[in-house]
Amino acid sequence: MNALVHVSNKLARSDLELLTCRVGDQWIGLHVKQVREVVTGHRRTVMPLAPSAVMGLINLRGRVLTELDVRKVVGLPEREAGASFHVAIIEGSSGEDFGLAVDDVGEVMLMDRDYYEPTPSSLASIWRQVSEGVLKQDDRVLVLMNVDRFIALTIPSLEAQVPDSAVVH
Amino acid sequence: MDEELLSEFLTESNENLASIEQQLMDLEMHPSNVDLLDGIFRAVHTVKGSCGFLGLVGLQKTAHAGENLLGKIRATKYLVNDEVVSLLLECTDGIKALLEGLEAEGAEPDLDHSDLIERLHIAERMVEDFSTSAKHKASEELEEAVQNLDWLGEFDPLVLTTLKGAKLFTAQDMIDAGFARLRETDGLTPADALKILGVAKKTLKAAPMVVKHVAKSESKNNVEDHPKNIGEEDCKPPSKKGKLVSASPQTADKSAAKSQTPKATNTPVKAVPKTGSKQQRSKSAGSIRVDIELLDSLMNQVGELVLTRNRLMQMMMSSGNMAYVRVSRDVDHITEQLQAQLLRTRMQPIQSVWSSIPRIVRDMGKQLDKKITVIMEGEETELDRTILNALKDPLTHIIRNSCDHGIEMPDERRNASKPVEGTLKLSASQESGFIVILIEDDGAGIDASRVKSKAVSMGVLTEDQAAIISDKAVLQLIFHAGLSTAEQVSNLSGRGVGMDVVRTEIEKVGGSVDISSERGVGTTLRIRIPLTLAIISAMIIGCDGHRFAIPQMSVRELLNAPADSSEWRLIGGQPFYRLRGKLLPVMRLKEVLEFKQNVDNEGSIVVVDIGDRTYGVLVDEIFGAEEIVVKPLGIHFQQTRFYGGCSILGDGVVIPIFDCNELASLMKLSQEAEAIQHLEEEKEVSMHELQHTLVFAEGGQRFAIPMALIERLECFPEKKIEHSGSSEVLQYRDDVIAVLRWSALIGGHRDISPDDSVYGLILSDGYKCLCLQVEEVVDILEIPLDIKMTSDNPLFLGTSVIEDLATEVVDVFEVVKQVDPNWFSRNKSVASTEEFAVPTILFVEDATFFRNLVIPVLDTLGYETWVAKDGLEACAILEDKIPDLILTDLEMPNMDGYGLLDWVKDRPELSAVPVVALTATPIDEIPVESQKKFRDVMIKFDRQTLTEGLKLIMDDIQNKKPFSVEGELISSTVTQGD
Repeated sequence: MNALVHVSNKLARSDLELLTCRVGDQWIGLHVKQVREVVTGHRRTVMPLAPSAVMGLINLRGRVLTELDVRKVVGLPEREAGASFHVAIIEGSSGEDFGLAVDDVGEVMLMDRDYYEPTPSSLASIWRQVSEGVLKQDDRVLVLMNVDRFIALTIPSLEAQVPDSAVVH
Repeated sequence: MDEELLSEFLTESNENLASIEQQLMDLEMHPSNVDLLDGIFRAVHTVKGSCGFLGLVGLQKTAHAGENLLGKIRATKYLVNDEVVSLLLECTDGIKALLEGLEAEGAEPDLDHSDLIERLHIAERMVEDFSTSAKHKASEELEEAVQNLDWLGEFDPLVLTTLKGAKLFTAQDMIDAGFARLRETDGLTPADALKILGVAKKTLKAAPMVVKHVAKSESKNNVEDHPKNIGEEDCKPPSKKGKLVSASPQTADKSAAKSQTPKATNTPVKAVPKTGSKQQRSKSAGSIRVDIELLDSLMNQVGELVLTRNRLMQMMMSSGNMAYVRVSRDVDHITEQLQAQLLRTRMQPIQSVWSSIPRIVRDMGKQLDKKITVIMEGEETELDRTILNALKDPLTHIIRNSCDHGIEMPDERRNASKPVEGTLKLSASQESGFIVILIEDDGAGIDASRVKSKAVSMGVLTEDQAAIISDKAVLQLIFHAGLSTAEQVSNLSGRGVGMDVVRTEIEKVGGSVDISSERGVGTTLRIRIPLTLAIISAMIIGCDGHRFAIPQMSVRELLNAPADSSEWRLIGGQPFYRLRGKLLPVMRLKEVLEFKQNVDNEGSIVVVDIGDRTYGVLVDEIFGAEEIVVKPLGIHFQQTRFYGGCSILGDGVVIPIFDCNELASLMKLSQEAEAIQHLEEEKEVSMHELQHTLVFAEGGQRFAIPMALIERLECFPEKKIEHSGSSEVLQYRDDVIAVLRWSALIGGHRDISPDDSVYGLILSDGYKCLCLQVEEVVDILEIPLDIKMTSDNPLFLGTSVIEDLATEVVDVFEVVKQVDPNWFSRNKSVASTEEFAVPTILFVEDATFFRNLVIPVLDTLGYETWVAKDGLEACAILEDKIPDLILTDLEMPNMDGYGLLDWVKDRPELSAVPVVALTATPIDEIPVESQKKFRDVMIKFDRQTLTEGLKLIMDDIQNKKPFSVEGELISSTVTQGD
């Protein structure tokens, strides 16, 4: 898979810039290079009969992006009505951008890749599927998320292989 | 490799090759046309020459082989046959494939054309064998020339022969001859000339040679108009070129004969036009090439501009400041123009897609041994390039199908006294924002019955559906996946895949396709596609607080549909709305999008027309039409295909756009209902005498009852039917009503388990109801009920043909009598005891059915009825005697209701007799002034109002008139037959 090669190249460099986000109790790290920006409080258009992970469409300065709810994908209960959340605009390898709704956004950290450990089998299966590795910190385990794998999980039938057929905005 | 040079080469080669197919096919028709042959040769030669510069070995080899063959053909004046043309076409295909690969990857693709090259060589030898001994000699000379001119390095043998023919042998010869003469020598291109000179100079520099031969021979005037870009000649510094050019001698007659010569000599070499033909050159003079991507992004931005303009307009309009409004109007105007013109830049003539068709047809014809000509009309019709691209494959497929299945073998055509040569006609024209493309063949046509049996065997249609479906509707099944009627699966088409893909592809770009065919005459496919896709006009609708856009091109009309409208029908759980006599299936958007279940039919209906069918979308609100920019949806919406895209509205909110073709599939319309849909659409029965008729089935037989006699249609579990004594009853509303089983009435029997759902027709008359339990409700149709055959069974009025099937029309009164023989007599007895004399009614009606329907009503009311079949008959009766009331149909043969009315008005003795009109048309469709002439106008099959209305009028008469006229009873029973 293309995305894997892509990422492992990144990992080969020793320093990684990560944006930490929280979803439920789980902290995740997103590659800063893949995150364009974080937006809050955007108006969204709900798309009836869309795949369950899709929260809706948002208008980001004239571009229409699909907004995905990370909670939904990892099987967490729905966010309470009115609860605030943030949307990280990420760049998929297909060229399409997506919004990932997360509960909270932490900080940007610079991390040496050597500190990373392979994904432990004790991690919930859904996280294992999207994890490239974990970083153990004092009080938490940060999952380094493979965004492309995550997005692939949100697309209904698997025949919709990610990159080539994706519509580029 | 120099990228710029490469792209120049690709563009140029593509241009050169664009016309070559057509030229080759023309050559096939006119093998002796030297100009054509020259043109083809030049094109291939140029490609080959350029490849040499760019080091494209594979391409050069292929082109070279083709060029050699062409050269040989030209030299030997060999008349090409179709085989040679096929081979040459294959060669151009090979070149094109290589060019495509080169374009895609930037490097020459690894394609093995050695087999092709080998065959080209064989053909070349074959051509040679045809040539005479003199020509043999010529080829020997050629060999010799090649040897003599070895110093030139790798050059086309033909060039070498030409040089030899011009008596130019040495490098010095070349230099002496000069550029102008060389380039004007027949068979040499300017590029060749430059190359030769270049090599000659180099050779001389390396080893100065003695002038051996000074050629003074006249070169032919026939200079070729050559497309070669001599600016690409990389081995020469520009200064040299300039010198060469200015030094070239030029004779007056030559320059006059050739428009390009002065241009090439008087202007810097770089500026020599590169395009292939004169027309193209003049056309390209005022145009530039623009990257498609740039155009697309420009298009996007104009799209944004349109949106911003919309917002601006809203703000300015509400500001109330006239100056602002004026400025914003200007902005509006300019934006509109900008948009329109930008759209035009993306337009390409449809020819760009059609150009490949003659070739396809030719190859198909060869393979199938059929003779087919292609006629094209409207090639200049322009379409958005995205749409054009999308059309390419479906068109090819349709053409293949027409050639393969449509056009018959020559023998068959001869036997059918048709021209042996089949014709395939393509035409394109613009029709209000759409392009209509017709593909017509004069072939055998499609056998609807074969499609039908195939459809049945494939399980696409059930036997029952097949029995009622019309031919036109059957033909549309061609587009159904998995249907192909070719008896023999050929390698060209008929694999059972295809036409469904054709439809899908066309629908993807917002188009529609339908087919019509006549046996023995031909088949026509009609494709209707929008001009452009980027900016569309859309209807913005609201549903459960959400907004959606429906492309205007699919919207036929908007209807306001209150939930309590009498036009709603429910058939098999599917709501239908009666629109001008046709049943329109309606999709409740709220339900379909799973906002809410079991919603009522409140709101507005957007009537959507997707070519082969029409349906309604029930929405809450309609906000109006707006120009919107179509934006693609992300990867998550690949499965939800009913979204065609999305857009951003003036207020910045994203709005989904429906794809109406796909949306239709959300409506779970049974195929049966679909077949009915087709029938509905075709039927163009005049409104006259149409009436709603419920068709139901029992034991495989079909029966009809006029809807006017049915109060409701119920579906309930069998167990709701209870036993009360010997009879069966049903709790209906607050009453207990008798249940009659139709199966029992007609002497059949059916086992029903208590949990089965059964249909009940609730028949009502005044205050009394009964339920007629039937096996299956087929449909409610608005049809003329025309009773063809009378029946011996008292239960039936007779037999009518409904949807091509014999259907028994039920005499509801007989049925009701089965339950309660006194149902009617009660009123009658009351009437007869109260009246001294029986009031008389002259009932004028031409249709047996209505006579049979109304007479019992009149009987029930206790009137004596005289019956006339038309106005004239009525007059005859009226000459004789005077009734209390005249009840007449409006539309009748011989003398209609109006005529009768006028006749009656002229008779003083009839002045007191009220004339009541009976009609099958909705009353509001009759002009008020016409209505006023009558005492009253009533709907025939609305028994309730008929009864009440007549009673009222009769009471009125009775009060005014203490006496009544005795009349002869013509008919008080059900009259039957005409």
